Formats: sequence, structure tokens, C-alpha cells
Amino acid sequence: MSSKDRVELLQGTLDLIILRALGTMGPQHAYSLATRLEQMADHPFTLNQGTLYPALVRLEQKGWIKGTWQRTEHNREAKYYGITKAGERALGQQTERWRRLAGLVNKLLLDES
Amino acid sequence: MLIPLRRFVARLAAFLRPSRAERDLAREVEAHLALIEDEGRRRGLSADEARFAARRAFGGVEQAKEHQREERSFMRVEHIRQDLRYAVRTLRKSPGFTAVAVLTLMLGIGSATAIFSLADASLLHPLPFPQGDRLVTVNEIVPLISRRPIRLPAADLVDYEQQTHAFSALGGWIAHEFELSGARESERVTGARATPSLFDVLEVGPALGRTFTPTEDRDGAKVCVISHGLWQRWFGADPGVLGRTVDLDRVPYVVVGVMPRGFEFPLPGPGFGRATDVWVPMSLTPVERQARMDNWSFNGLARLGPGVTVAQGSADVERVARRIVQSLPAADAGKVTFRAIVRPLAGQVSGPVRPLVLVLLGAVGCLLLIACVNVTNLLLARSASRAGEFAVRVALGAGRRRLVQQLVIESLVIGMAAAAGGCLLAWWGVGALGRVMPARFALLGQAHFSWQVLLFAALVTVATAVAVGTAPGWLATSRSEAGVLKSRSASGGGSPRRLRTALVIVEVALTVMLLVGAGLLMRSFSDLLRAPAGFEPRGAVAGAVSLPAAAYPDAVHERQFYRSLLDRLQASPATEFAGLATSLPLDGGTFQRVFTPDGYTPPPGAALAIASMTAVKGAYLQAIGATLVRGRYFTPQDDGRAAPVALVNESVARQYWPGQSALGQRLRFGGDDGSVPWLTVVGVVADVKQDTLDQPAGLQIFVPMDQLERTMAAQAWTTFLPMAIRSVFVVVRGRGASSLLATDLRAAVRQLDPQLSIAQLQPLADVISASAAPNRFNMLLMVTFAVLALVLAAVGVFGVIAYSVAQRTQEIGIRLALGADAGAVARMVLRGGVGLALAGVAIGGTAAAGLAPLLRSLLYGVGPFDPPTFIGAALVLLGVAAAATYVPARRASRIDPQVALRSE
Repeated sequence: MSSKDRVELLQGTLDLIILRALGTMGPQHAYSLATRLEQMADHPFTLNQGTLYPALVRLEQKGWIKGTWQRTEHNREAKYYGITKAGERALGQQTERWRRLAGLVNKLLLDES
Repeated sequence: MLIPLRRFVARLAAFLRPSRAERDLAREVEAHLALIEDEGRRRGLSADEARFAARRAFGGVEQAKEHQREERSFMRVEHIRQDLRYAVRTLRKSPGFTAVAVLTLMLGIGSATAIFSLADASLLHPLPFPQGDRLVTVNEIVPLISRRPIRLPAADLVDYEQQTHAFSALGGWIAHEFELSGARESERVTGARATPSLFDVLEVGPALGRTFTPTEDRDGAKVCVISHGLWQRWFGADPGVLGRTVDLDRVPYVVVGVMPRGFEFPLPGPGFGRATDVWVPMSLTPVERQARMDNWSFNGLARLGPGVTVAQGSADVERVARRIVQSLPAADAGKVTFRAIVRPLAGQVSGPVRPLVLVLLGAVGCLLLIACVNVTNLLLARSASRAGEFAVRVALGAGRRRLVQQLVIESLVIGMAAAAGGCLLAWWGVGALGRVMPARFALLGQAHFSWQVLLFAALVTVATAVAVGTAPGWLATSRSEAGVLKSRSASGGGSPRRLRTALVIVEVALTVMLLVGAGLLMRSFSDLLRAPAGFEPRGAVAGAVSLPAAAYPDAVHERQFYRSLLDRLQASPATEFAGLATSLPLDGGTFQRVFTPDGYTPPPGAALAIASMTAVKGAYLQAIGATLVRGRYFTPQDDGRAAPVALVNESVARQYWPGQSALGQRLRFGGDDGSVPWLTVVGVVADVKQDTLDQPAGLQIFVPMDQLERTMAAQAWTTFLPMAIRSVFVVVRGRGASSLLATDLRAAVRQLDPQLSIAQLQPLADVISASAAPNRFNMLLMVTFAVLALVLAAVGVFGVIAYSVAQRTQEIGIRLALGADAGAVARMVLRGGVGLALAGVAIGGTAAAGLAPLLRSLLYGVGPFDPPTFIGAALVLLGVAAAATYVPARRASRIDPQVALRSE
């Protein structure tokens, strides 16, 4: 897959997706999050899994998610991120904003065509 | 919102302690890769394949980490940290350059900081009291006496205190010298009688005990408050001092309070050199309470009430003053009138030093600029030689902004090292200045390192660093873009060299300005010392004696003591002349008395004739060596029974009897009411400098002390004269060494009254040097700065010329190869240096002529446009520039053409 086909994520979109994933699936480590995101997309997009890290540290510094070191089922250590109360509130607000924005963009695109 | 704040704190924490977050990140990425590998192996990949797959899936590990760091912390700041480390490393590699740059800036920053601390103490925070800007003095303006504000009669002070409303407190004080005795050998201390309200005005309470109460003031209670210094000196800091007694003028006073360390009031300043050690209740005498329109000796001080302006305060005291004028007895009513005003204390305290401090600030500003110019030039030369390094960095993708930032940070590192040294230098300098500070500048002596001073030093440092770093950085990087890699010799290129030349011209110009300033002050100082003071200080000693009222209740006792003292002194074979008087030349304090010359009618509306009156006993005028211009000195025959006589100075003679002999003319004290007898002028002396060397003596009248009782109005005799002649200066002129004369004088006083101490015992010559001390201080500071500037300018000229010779080695080599004479080459280089200096001298001389009038208040005898000073400054500078150019010129003339042409 060439880099052209990669979905360029809008600024902030990745944050929302991570929050949403953690909100529905419970605490996850970065690898499982990345795998999950790849599976979820119906247009298969791959992201370099490393690109999650800036988003994770940003969300953690905002206090929306919290990372703790735990053992995986195969007894490997990994940092599990879980959504916090503040994160859930933020998820609600961000989802609402996203819906409004998406609706607006959709409408504009429809009008144009 | 709290989220951004929370994030900021988290990023700051990560920035300050990066190692933990870094370890955590490494561990997490490691774990992540391991998980992908596990997954790969479960799917049957070999260990190596699994590891590659993991890397592929993860993407660039270092990139991911770097992006995470950018999110986690502050990368711009991180870059600055890197630049700092790099700067320190590069500077360490060229210690010579670094040392010169740091030393130069250290001089600039250090001088600026030291002088700013003087300005901070004197102009910005002159009053060491809470909300000192609310303090105002209360003054009266009596048109008959002077248009200038004067102090108050005690009776008026009482009215202002009781009848005004604009002030949160209003009080008064009058200085008083006490003989302090009791447990130890007696000494003279400076004290003040103060109203109880004075401490409320100042809003300073005692460290121990209390201040005095209105009841104690009214009842004349013998209580006192002492200074922290006296508490330590006299009582050994005894915590049980309260309730102990000291003898003040041989009357026991109970100590009720000790003021905190550092408390000073009245503030030492002009005419009031020494710190006050004792405060006693004002306890006005009945005579003081009654005297209106007389004895303007009491200082009024008030604190403006909340929201009250100075104008409103003045209106309030003026209202009371009008009431006082209306209540004056009919004899005075209509004839005399006065106004009352309040004026901010801060301005009066800082006024005398303001011109000096402003001039010094200007001088250190010039010096700092000169230092900056030198360091900028150094950096320009250095960045030219580093052109290759910059070019490489630009080629590797460094942004221009980043390169300039790098260079500014380098100069900041230099600046900070210089600031550290400069602050030490300033700290030492302020301490040293404090020790040589003349009493008249006591206010400046309070300079210390406040946080404002440190803030100033920090601001100056940053401004300096940015100023010296930006231009070289900009030029260096612009050259890099021009492709220095291709041709190293481009580093000498046009614009930096023109810039460096311009900078040196500016530097020379600034130096000329400082030289002119220093020259003017030097000429003033030598004129000041050469100007006639009206007396001959060599061979005479003087001391002050003050007779306590408890032991010498009236004028009879006082004069008896003086007679015995003078007899004793006269009996010594070493004594030529001995005498005493109520004032001493250059001591400042005199009695201003109204007088009327016979037959003189003042023009209508003019102020009364007022002269400083000195009462003399014995051969005082001969002892101080006053120059007798006409007539005779006083003789022992001019006693209480003889016809009243007076001596006047030349100013009186010139003003009231112009074109005729003053001898035989008559004058009398007081107004023209005829109640006192005429005094006949029997001699004229030269003007005796009274306040300071740089002020004219004014009108002076000398009278025999023994005749005062008859020649002064009865009221004056009762109110102030017994007090006036209680404190006198004794002067002895003799053949021996002054130390022997002083010993004789001390012994004579001791033999007559073992408890009496003699203060300020010193050769009369010391009085002159003490009076010249402020002028010497001004001059020395300016000369110091001018010499520093001259050295820096010499270094600057040398640097630019030497550098241009180095740059032109090839050209000079060609000239020599083509047969140019070595002398001609040397002259060419020399012309370059002297040309620079000439341009600087022309600009600097013009600027100095524009600024010199600002110095006017510090000058004596010379005008601000004194031609010898300007010519001298120009010659000195040209000479120094020629000397600085000499070495490079010689080097140029000795260039070996072969070597020069082969290099590069």
C-alpha cells in the first residue's frame, strides 16, 4: 500500500477515536488499540502504530485517560490505558461536536454536487 | 478551562524531569514491539522475521519517540537548552576571546548596576519609611524674608498640628546637640526635640519600649527614645535598658524606647551630616510658644491623609495660616504676612543629589554602550572566522533563525558570566563608594542591593546580550547563504567591515563625551580649590564646645567659661591667636538676622536685609586667618561697656555702601524701630565661605559677643541668644604641629570642666577638604568612567585596525612587492586609525557640546563649553587612537610580501 492511500487523520480525530475505543472496550495497551483501530476501519487503513504515542501522552496529560503498568494474558508487561471520568465527559462533548461538524460537512458536500 | 492548565503543568513537569518520562516511554515502546513480535511468532514467523515485522508495523521508533516528546514537553525550550550547552562548549574552546568579552561586559554591567543602585536609593526610594511618598514638609513663605519656603515658628507649628484636617498626622522637630554623659566618658551626640506625633507621621514604632506621650510632652517629662546604634554603643545592647537613665546636657533622662536598627530621622543630608541618636519630647518653652513671626526654626512634617493631594494639604495649612495672620497683634498686622504650603519630602531629600545621579547614569550608559560596541566587534570578527562552521550548519538544514538564536544564546552566556562578575563588582563598588561618600551625599550611602537593582542588572544583561549578539548573528548567517563554503576569503566582505568601522566611530564619540564631562569636573575641582575661601586654613585647629544649660544657666556663666578658656589657650607659647565664635567657615550653620544699614531705604516690596551674624570672642578672625581688607580686627577694648562695633564682609560693603568706604558707617539689627543702638563698622574682611566652597558667602556681619546684650533687641536676647552662644567653635592658630594645638585645646577644655567634651576637633584644613569632598567625589567617579571608556575605546580602535591589517595582508603584500615604502604603508594604516578617531571626535565633540549644559549645576568656575577641556579631550583621544594604531601599523610595514602572497 502506498502512502497516498493512507487516510490522513484530521487533527483531533485520532484523539476521539482512541477515547471512543477505550470507552467501549475498557482498558487497552497501545498495541491492542492499534490492532483494534485497524480492524474497525471498513476502508482498510494502516497507521504506523508509533503514531499513537503523541496522542496517548496528550490525552493522558489532559487527564482524559490514565495509563497503568499491568501484565497481559501471556504474562508480558504492558501499559494499559483506561478512560477516566473526565475522559468520558470529554468523549460525550467531542462526539457531539464531531457529529455537528460531520453533518455540516456532509451537507456542504451534497449541496456542491 | 482547567484542561490547558493541567496540560501545561504536566508538560512542565516532563520538561523539568525528562528522564523518568523518557524511561517510561522507552519501556512502553519496548513492550509494544515485544507484543507484536509475540503475535508474529504465534503466527509461525521466525524470531528475526517477527522482529522485522514488528518494526514495520510500528514505524520509525525514533520518530515516534520524538513526536511523543514534542507532545510531552516544550521542544523550543529544549532546543535552547541544547544551544546553551553548545554555547558553553564553544566558548570554553576559545578562552581568550571569552575572557576579553566577559571582562568588557562585566565593566559595563557592573558600573551600570552600581550607579543604578545609587539612583534606586536616592531617586526611586529616597525615604526609608512606609509610604514615604505621602510625607510632606510644612513650610512658610514670608515675603519680607525670602521668596523661598522656610521653617516655622513653634507657635505656628502647634496651630497646624491642632487645626488641620487633611493629614493623618502632623508633627515637628528641631535638631539639638546634646552632651551625653553618665556611665561613660561624655560625648556629643546629635539629637532632636520631637513632638509625640512625629512617630505617627513616620509610621515607625520603637523596637523596644515606646515613644513619648502627649502628656509627657506637655509636662516636660525628662524621657528619651534612643537609636539602635546608641543602644548598642552606650548600653551594650542591654535588653533591660528601659527605665535606665542617661544624662543629656547634665539632666537625667529616662530611656523609654529604642528605635529599630536602620531607623534614621532626621535623614542625614545637606547641612545635617550625622545620624540622630536621641529623641526627647519637644516640650516647648513659654517663650517659644508665644513667639509669632520670629524664630523660624522648627521643622514641620506631615503625612497626607488617604486620598488627599499635596495641593489639598497646602490649602489646609494655608487656611490655618490666614487665621494666624488675622490674629497677629496690631503692630504686626498689615505689615507682615505669610503663606503656608506643604511639599513632598522625597523631592527635597533627593533634590541635592539628583543632578549628580542623572549625570552618572548618563556616564555609565555611555560606558555600557562602549562595552557593547567592543563585544559586538569581537563577535563580528569571530563570526567572520566561524563562517565555515555556519555554512556547514546551514547546508545541513539549520534554519537562519535557529543560527541567530544560537549566536544570541552565546552572547547571553557571555552576558550572564559578565553579569555575575558585574554584580560582584557593583557590590564591591557600592561598598567602596559608601566608605568615601561625603556626608552631603549620605542619601547615596544608603545604596544597597535591592531586588530592583538585581532586576535592573538582569534586564541590562539580556538587553546587552541581544544587542551584541543579533547583528553578528544576522550578518554571519547572511554570508553563509552567499556561499562561504566556496570562497573562505569572502569573510572579510563589505557590510560587516563598514559596520565595525561605524561602531568604533560611535565608541570614540561616546568616549569623547565622557572625557569632556570628566575634564569639566576636573577643571571645576581645581578652580574650586584655588578660589579664595576668605580664610587661611593652614596652621589652625578648630573644635566645637557646647555648654549644658544645667551647669551654665546664663550668659554670665557662659562668658566666664569662654574668658577662662581663651586666657588658658593664650598663655600657651604655641598659641599665636585663639578665639571662638558662633559659627565656623564652611560649617553651614549661621544665625540669619535682619539688619538695617544707616540711611539705606529698601526699594518698596523688597525683602528685608538679612545677613548671617557671627558673634565673636577673642582673636577669632585672626585665628581663622580671615583676610582684613580695611580697618581693624576687634580688640579686647571692644567689650560690653565700649561703643558697639561690627565688622562686615566685602559683600555687605559693596551692596550697601558702593563707591564709598564702609569704615565708620553704621548699621543695626532688627527692623527700623530704633529700639537698639547703632553699630559702627570698624573693619571689612574678605567674604568667608560659609556653606560650601562652591556657594558665594553672602552677606556677613561679625560682632563682639560681649556686646550682644546691648546690640540685639530685648526679645531676641531672651528667645535665642543664650542658646546661640551656648554652642561655639573654638579656633587656635599656632606655630606647632596641628596635633599639638589640638592636644592643648582639648586639655584646656578638660582642665576647666572635666566633663565637657570637645567635638569635631580637627585641623581647619580638614574643613576645606570635607567641603570639597562632594566635588572630589563627582570628579573621581566621572574620571574613573572616562578612563575605563578610554581603555575600551583604545582596545576597540586597536581591534578594528589590527583586524583590517590582517584582512589586507595580501593587498599590503602586493603594495610592498610593487615597491611601496614600508613607512608609507605604516602611515597608511595609521591614517586609517586616526581617521576613525577624528570622525569620532567630531561627532562626540558636537554631542558633548549639546549635553554639557546638563552638567552646569555640578560645575564651578568653568562654563560647560570650556574650550581647553574640549581641545584636551580631543587631543587625548587622538593620542590614544594613534598609540592603539601604532602596533598594527608596524606589523603592516613588516609584512613579508612573499609570505603574504603565498598564504591562501
